[in-house]
Amino acid sequence: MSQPRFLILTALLPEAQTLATALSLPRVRELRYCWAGPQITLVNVGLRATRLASITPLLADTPSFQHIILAGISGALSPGLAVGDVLLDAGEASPPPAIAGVTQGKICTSTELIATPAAKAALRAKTACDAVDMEGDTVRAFLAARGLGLLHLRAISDSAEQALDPRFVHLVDDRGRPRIGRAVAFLLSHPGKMAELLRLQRATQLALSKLGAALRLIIAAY
Amino acid sequence: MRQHLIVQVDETGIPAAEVPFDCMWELVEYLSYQRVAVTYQYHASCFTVTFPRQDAASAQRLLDEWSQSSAGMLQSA
Repeated sequence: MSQPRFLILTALLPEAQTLATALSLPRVRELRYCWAGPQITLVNVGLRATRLASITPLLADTPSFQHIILAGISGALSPGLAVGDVLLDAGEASPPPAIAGVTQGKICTSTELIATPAAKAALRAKTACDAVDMEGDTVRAFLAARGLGLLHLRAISDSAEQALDPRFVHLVDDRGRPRIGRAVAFLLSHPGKMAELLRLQRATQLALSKLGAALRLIIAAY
Repeated sequence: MRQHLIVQVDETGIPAAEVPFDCMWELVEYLSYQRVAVTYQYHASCFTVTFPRQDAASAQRLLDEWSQSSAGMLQSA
């Protein structure tokens, strides 16, 4: 029997680059923001999935993809989740067998950053979801319109108790690359934010390394 | 004409609507063009769209405008 094919989507370019390294995927020369091996194709679809339409031609690929996975970092809503924890929301798709270190949970989507512990608690109370991202249900709706399911995998980069400065989201472009000029200007005018940015960077690196390890296990489990 | 969606206000005063799977993607595209802040949540039978920065009348007006717009409008815009 042939091996299943996976299409992996990420919102941020650093997520895509880390996962491509973890999965040993070379960059596709002809396509920007795409990495591929015999079994796995990885595409960066941008913050808030604004470049999602770029995967439409891939969905017509033969043989087709058996599993479509959106993978990245997210904020926790559940107080029980810590930085680096990995959460899987299989939705209507068939979930993989239980994977060590991966918790099943529910993830909702907000088009704006949920930045404060109070906002996270309010969203948790309203939705009963464990984490929030900025793309998941947009991608799920796009795929559902085509009769396809989504495995949604997220590693936690900020806990429910941690606050994020909502201005941080403006320091990266729509693929998650740093806007150097804006970042420098922001830090010059808010030098006290350097420690918070460094903490977020360390948390993101930890979350991405756990995400890569979890994704390898999930792919091997199918 | 698209399906008419009804906004309801929850106990915290935030407007929300249930959206069937078959029209969710078109609504996502429309709201993204309108640059509206929304929260999406997947359920077994539908999606819920929440409008944390709108009052109920504004949210209903957005959904009414979406339901009265044709699917081709975004492509030709």
